[in-house]
Amino acid sequence: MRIIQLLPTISFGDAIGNDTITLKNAMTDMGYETDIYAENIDKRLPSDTAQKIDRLESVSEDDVIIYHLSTGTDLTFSLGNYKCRKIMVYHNITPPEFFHPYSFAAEKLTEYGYKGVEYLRDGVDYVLADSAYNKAELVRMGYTCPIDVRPILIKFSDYEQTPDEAVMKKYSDGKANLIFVGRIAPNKKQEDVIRTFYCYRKINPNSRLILVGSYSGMENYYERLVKYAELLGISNDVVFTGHIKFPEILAYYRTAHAFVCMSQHEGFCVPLAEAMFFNVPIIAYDAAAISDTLGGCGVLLDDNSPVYAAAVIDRVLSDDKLRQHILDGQKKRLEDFSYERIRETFEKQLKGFLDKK
Amino acid sequence: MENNINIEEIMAEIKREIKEKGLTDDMLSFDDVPYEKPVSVGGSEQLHEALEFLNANCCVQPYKELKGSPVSVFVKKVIRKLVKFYVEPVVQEQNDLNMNTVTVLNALSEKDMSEKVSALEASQKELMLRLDRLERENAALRSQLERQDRE
Repeated sequence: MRIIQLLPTISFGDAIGNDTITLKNAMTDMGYETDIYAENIDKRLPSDTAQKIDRLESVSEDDVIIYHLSTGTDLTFSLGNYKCRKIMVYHNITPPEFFHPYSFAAEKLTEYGYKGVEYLRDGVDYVLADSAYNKAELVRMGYTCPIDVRPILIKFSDYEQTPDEAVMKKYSDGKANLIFVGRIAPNKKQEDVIRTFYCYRKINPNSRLILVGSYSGMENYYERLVKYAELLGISNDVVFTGHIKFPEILAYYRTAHAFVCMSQHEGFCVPLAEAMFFNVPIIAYDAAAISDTLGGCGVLLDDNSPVYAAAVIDRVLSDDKLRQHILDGQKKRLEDFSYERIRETFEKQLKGFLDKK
Repeated sequence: MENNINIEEIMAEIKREIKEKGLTDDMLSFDDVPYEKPVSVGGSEQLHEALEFLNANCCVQPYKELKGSPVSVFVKKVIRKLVKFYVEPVVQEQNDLNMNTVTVLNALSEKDMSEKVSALEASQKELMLRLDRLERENAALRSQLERQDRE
């Protein structure tokens, strides 16, 4: 029996790529014969990480396919060609309506993604969802197969690298740095983070907002955000990093005083776990999978009013006891995302599924 | 130490303070910020094509190539000569009008111009918000003064 992981694209350093690779290593450690097959393989990955999907031959009935679903792709619809048992890892798909005002291509791609989710409703035997939110979405869509929650595997060892010195120096200047990390995308509601900062800056003028993330493919949304910051008169203190190198991301986390998330749609939100790792207090609007990932830690806002969010940020940054209480909670929650803990969960889930045969 | 902190209580306290101080979310709305809409959604592709057509065809010719038998071509030529005094000035006027219209349409469709208009609209909305805020402050100050006068 082989366990084959399938996905359309395996990228270097992204959450799903890292999850797939870490699962492969975990399954190898468990003694399974396993491999990754993808249509597109990032050239920066070591050559033995994955193979091109056209090299996948003779899948036997004994084999098991683990399919990572996160976008619209023809691969989803070809899954039925493999006559073996299938597990879907559901990372969630951004609802198309978020992209409607900005990108026709992204809207169509995500629509296609949801068609794929519907198509696989009776086409997979078991689902591992990144969050309870993702599981609930599948149940709503009529999935009747067993679904378990398994948080995404995060390679925290990568975060031990040396952060970029220039960024560290530039932003360790005494100003309060509010950050949000995530690609510039309408579902992440960066405009609400800017609105929150607009209000916070009135309380603490010695502050800045850093929006870390690539805007590739969302140029018009990005330009609108830049214009918004200009019209609000705060553009000097709002930094858009664009696509940056990993050591620079680490430096932004290390110089951050608060992580502000106003996102309205997340299937898991890896940056929340990263903020926990870097000991940055989290203030996040309660939407989609955010509360699942926070698991009771950080500060969860029941309202996305910028005045309220700004007042909460101010309280967190000025009240040492409260901040320490939040950081203690985040540290505790981070243990749930440790490699050992999730690997153990995954091993139980995988064995449970394989034994049912 | 952990047990002494109740985050929910703190959040409620913050909400109470915001209400007491009358703090509001008055600021320019993100919806009022102009942006370039995607081509396939906004229909600007058709608009662009139409504008190109107007630029290429804004000048109309008063005379077309005459077709038909030699006799009918001869008759048409005679008629053309007879109406020339009337047709040519009208066509010239129409061409002047067309060219000026196309110049204005080109200028209006330029990205800079549309952005400027949108930015002006946005700043106007922001000014309206400021005006509203100032009016409210003014009213509050007036009532304060009236109270003081009465005392």
